Amino acid sequence: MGRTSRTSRRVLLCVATATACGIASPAAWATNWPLTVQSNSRGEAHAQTRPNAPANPTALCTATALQITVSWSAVPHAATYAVYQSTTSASGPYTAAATGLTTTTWTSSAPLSTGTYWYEVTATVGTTWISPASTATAPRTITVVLCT
Amino acid sequence: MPDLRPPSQRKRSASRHRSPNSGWSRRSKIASAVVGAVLAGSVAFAVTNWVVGLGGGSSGQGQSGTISNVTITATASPAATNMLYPGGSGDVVVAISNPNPYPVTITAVNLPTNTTYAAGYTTSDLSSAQAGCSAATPSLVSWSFATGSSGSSHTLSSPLTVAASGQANNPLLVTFTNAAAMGTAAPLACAGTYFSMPSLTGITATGGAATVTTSPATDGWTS
Repeated sequence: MGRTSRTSRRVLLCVATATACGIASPAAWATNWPLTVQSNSRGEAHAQTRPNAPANPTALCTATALQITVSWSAVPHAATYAVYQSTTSASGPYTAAATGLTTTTWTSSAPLSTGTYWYEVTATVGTTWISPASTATAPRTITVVLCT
Repeated sequence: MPDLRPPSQRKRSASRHRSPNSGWSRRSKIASAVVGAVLAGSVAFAVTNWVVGLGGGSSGQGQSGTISNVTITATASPAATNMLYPGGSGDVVVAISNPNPYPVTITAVNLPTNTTYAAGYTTSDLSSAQAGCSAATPSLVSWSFATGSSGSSHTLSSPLTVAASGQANNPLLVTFTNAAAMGTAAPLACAGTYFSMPSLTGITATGGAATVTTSPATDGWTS
């Protein structure tokens, strides 16, 4: 019995002190032990706000073809643009003239009917983040002879 | 009393009557070797808390140590400057805490699936849910490069070493560049929203002496 208890003490002492038996210390053991992460570990991200309306929309008459070209400033990360046309007033109502545009300029089909035209533009980021409409362009009037 | 036996008998007697101490020493060595082999064998398994200590009733000196989980938490600071938008990616900011008495170096993260989405909140303290932008909506915000299988491993561009418990730079603030991705059809309700990213499923990390990373740090993965 005395021999057994002495053996137990020696075994446990060897494990606890480690280095006395040529085994690495707990800190050194950790070098070879994989650590893991606490459950529910996560991080934080932030999304940008709704895209701004395209700035600086302009409508210009083409020289001879009775067409109107609309241009605007690019919106960051915009995937597409849409142009809306009104023949009533600057405050609308507007109807879609072109959608899915990937450039910052659009030219109407030729020739336009006589009348006065206003235009607004929206930008879309992704497929669902649609910006507010831009301010209306200055009016452009098509007559039989002139576009003024 | 002198030994009157012939020399041949004396030698055999010496081998029969060994010192009790030499016999017990060999047994104790074998026992300690067995214990050491068992302990070394369990290195293959990840542990959450593992303690080495002395058995009851033992005498003598000894030491103990623990291996504890690293904790990664969402944090609003430093604020992410590279923000999410539909079809794009954005930064993820974390605070990494090491409760161990030695530095821990992280070399990779394990991600949930690419259909495990983040929950949206109205403010950076992630306290009020954003209507129409929850994980279930879904927000379409997930970890970049996550795959269809949970637990995919992604190597960090640079290893991150978190200082020992109680030391400077622990917790370690890290911005993971472009670590979050937003699907093109993300709801408009998610615009301007703060996201609590889905939980990591694991990390690849080891403990031991290393040059500590200074906070705030920038890191990430590219595949």
